[in-house]
Formats: sequence, structure tokens, C-alpha cells
Amino acid sequence: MAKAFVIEADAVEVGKTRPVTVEGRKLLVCHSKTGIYVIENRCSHQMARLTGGKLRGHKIFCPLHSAPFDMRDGAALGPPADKPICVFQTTIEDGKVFAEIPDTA
Amino acid sequence: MSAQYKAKWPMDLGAPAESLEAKQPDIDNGLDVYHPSRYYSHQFKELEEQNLWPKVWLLAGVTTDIPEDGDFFVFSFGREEFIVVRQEDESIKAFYNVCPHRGNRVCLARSGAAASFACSFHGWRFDIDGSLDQITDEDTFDPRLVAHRPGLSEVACDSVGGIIFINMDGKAPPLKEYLGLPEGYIEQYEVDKMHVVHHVRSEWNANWKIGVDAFYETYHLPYVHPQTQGVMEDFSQNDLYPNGASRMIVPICVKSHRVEDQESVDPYQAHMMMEAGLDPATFEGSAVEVREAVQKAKRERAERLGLDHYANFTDGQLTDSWATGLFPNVQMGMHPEGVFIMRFIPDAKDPEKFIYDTMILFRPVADPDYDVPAWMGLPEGTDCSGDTRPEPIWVPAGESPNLGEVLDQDAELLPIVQQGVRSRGYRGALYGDQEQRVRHFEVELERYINGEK
Repeated sequence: MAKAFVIEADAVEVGKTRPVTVEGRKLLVCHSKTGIYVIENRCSHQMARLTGGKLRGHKIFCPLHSAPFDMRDGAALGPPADKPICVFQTTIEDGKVFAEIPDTA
Repeated sequence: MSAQYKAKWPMDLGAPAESLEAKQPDIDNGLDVYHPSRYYSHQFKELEEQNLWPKVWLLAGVTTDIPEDGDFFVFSFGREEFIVVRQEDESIKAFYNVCPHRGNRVCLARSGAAASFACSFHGWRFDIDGSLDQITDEDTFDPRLVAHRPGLSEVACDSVGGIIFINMDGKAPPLKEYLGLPEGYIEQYEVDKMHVVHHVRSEWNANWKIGVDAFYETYHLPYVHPQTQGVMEDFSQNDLYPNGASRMIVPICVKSHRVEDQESVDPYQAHMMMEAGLDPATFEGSAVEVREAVQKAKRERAERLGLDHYANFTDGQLTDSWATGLFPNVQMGMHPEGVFIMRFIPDAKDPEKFIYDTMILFRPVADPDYDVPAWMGLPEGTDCSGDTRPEPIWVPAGESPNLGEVLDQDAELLPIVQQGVRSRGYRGALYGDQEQRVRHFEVELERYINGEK
């Protein structure tokens, strides 16, 4: 587990997502009204990128089929997804977003 | 104002004619006895599929479930599904949930937020306004086949007072006219400021009309729900409106006229006093004075909390349930604090099954003691902040739906009624005046079935 710099916090507007690659992993930074979340940028349903998915509180909806996920723990919240996605513990320090990235993906 | 009334039949709370509480003039709906096959035959179900459901406005949901553009929910009704989605201009549109390409369900999620809808079969994509956005590998289609740019099939969609309705064939009268209720009746509750805090979809082994019929009268209260006699009058004020709509006002916080002791306060009454912030231990009045005391306490509390919409309500509305029936398959228990919407949704295939879909809507207020009425059966500890929309709880047939004591008693009863109406010995329902709303509903239904409407 390593704490990695992800992005400047002000680089992602509220309501928007932004894809980033950190330590070889494709991540998505999601800035909803409830905070900034760093999640794996891949839906567990049909493997689509989650970039541009609508954010509502702690939920993100896959832009392809609207599969809902909880960005706090990665849980699939309803059909069509039934498997979770990876999410990363996120901290913001001095306006910078950091995420705990596991050593082995 | 109608703080005082006398429980006698016909029940009339005595409100002035201009009040929304006023007793409506009687309607002669005749004495027809309908053959009970309407409760179990596939033939009658098919008549409903053709002559009823496409022609009526169906209650699809509430506006607070889709506050932002792209927010949607899927409304399942029998063999159909509809996507109801908030548009960029804040209007609401509804579409059959079916891909025009090969008929797959376009949206597999039950609710959410979307910038577009993509079919999971071949990836055709549609904007939230239903228009075709993209055909996968369109160059492999003969242009003549897709020249009409097939989008999602739209259905008529409109809302009143925060409640969303759809009409499949698009030929129903304008929504407000169709609903048949007086101007402002629904709007006064400001459902558009309420949030769904509890949603249960329970499957019952009975025809959907067995459900409507049971919930449209309080004649059964002393027998099915004897415990309500300590806190509810079972002589309701019945009001019939045009187009099958009706209302019954059920006086609450009173003992039934059938109870001899009208002096001592019933424990259920005491509970309702506490809900309104009154201390039953120091209450010096009799059982008949509880309703007025609760109304007064609720009025004062509303002023303290700055709830201006209470000015809309009569004193009676602060305690009583205005059980409001919308033709064909809805009843709403309407209270200032919250609204209990029940929908009787037919099973896709089986005429002897329906889904009892119940939503409790609550207007969040910054007072921990402010709650919806106890009869709604809101589970202890429910999050009523409106911040999180709970997922619907699905309860298969045969399991207790845990809807609270009163509604669970109905859930036990109705499958047994369903068995009875199938008997060769049963000839059809004989409705008394206390069941006039049921007859009003069945007479309107008949107009659709026989093609008059």
C-alpha cells in the first residue's frame, strides 16, 4: 500500500469526473457535492469506462447502462451490475488529492 | 372548520360547501351486481389490458425522486416498463423501456442518473429526450430502414402537485380533468416538498381490484382491524367525484361510535397526543375531546416551526385521513406531515396476483418529534431526512410485508377473499352505502371495459 499523489483538488469541478493514470492503474477522480472520490475507472458490468458518469452524492452511475456504485466502498447498488468496483482511500492535503494504491493490482 | 361532528350515517363532517372538506352530493350508481369472474378470469384481464390500462393516467412516481436533469426511474406496470426521466429544461418525459431495434429493455437499472441510455444488446444509444443518438455500425444498415431515426417510444407524461402520471395511448383527457378532484386538492399537500422515506413492493395473491375494493371502505374496520376502534371512526365521510375518483374522510384521534366508553382516553389516542407534543398524563379532557386537542397542538406546532402550508388545511385535516382514490388503481392517505401512496399494480400474467406498491412520503422538518401518522407503519429508525432515497423493498407473496399492524391484517385477509370470490357459491358483490366508493370505482371500470370510455 502506498499513498500516491493523484491530482490537484481544484482540477476537477464539482459534478465532474476526470480520468488519471497512477502507478499504471486507470483511475477516475470524481468530485460530487459530498466530496472527492478516487475509484477504478472500469464498470464491473460491461467493463466500460466510468468517465463522465453522473454523480449524485456518494453514487456514480456508469455512463453506458447507468449501473450504480457507491464511491465510498465500491458496492454495486443495483442492476445491471452485481459486482463491486475498486475504490481507493482518498485524502486531501494542501489542495492535493492522494489515494492509497495497493502495491499489487 | 369541523372540530366537532356526530358519527351517524350518512356521515357528514359539516364543512361549508366551498371547503375541500365539504360532503359531495350523492351520485346514483345503480345496483348492478358484477360477475365475480372479473377477479380471476384471464379474459377479463385481457379486456383490462386493451380497454383500461392504455387509456388511463397511471401514477408513475413523484418529482422529488428525479430532481436533476438526467435523473430517472423505471416504472414497472404489468407487462410494461417505462423510463421516466427529467429533461434539461426541467420537464419530465416518459418512454416505453424498449429498444426500437430488437425489442430489448433499454434500461436495466431501476433508477439513477444518465446522460444517455445505451441498449445492452447491440449498443444503440438514445438521448434522455428519447431521440436516437447512435446506431452501432450504422453503415451496415440500409439507410431506408433507419431513415426515420427510430428513438424511444414516448408516452404522455404530466404531473400535478409533485406527482407524476403517464398515459400510454396519449388520448386520455388532460390530467387534471381526468383526475376529477377539485382545484388545489392535491396541490395543497405540497408533495413536491416531500421525499420518499420508505418504499415497499409486496406481492399479494389476489386480483388488483380485490385490493382497491378493500381499501376503498372503512366498513371492515371493526372486524379486520378491531384495535382501530380506540382511535378511528369507521363511519367515514364518503365523497364521489367525476371519473371514478373518490375520497373518504376517516376521523382519527377519536373512538369509534361503536365503543360504549367515550370517556377514558384510549392508549392509541394517548400515543397520538404524544406525537403532537401533548402529554396524555396531564390531559384533563375525555376521549371525545382528544381530536380537537391534537388539532390545536398541531396548529400551534406548525406556527412554531414556520410551516406556512398548514394555513391550507382545515382543522379536520390535521388529524383525519383523507383517503383519496384516483381511478383506477391508486389510493393516497393524505396528511399534512406526509402522504401514503398505495398503488394496486396488476401482475404481468396472473389475474390472481397484484403488487401492493406503497410509498411513504414525508416532508422533512427540523423537529425530532415531527413524524408521519403511526398507521402508516414507518419502521423505527427510518431516515426521514430526505437525503437518501431508499431502495424499494421487495416482498414475495406469502411473506409478511411488515407494513405495520393494520396493513398486515389486510395482507393476511385479501388472499382468502380471493379464494372465496372464485367459489361457485359466490354471485358477486352487494355494496352497501358504506361501500359507495367501491361501487363508484367498479361502475367507472365498467365504462372502460364495455368501451364507453
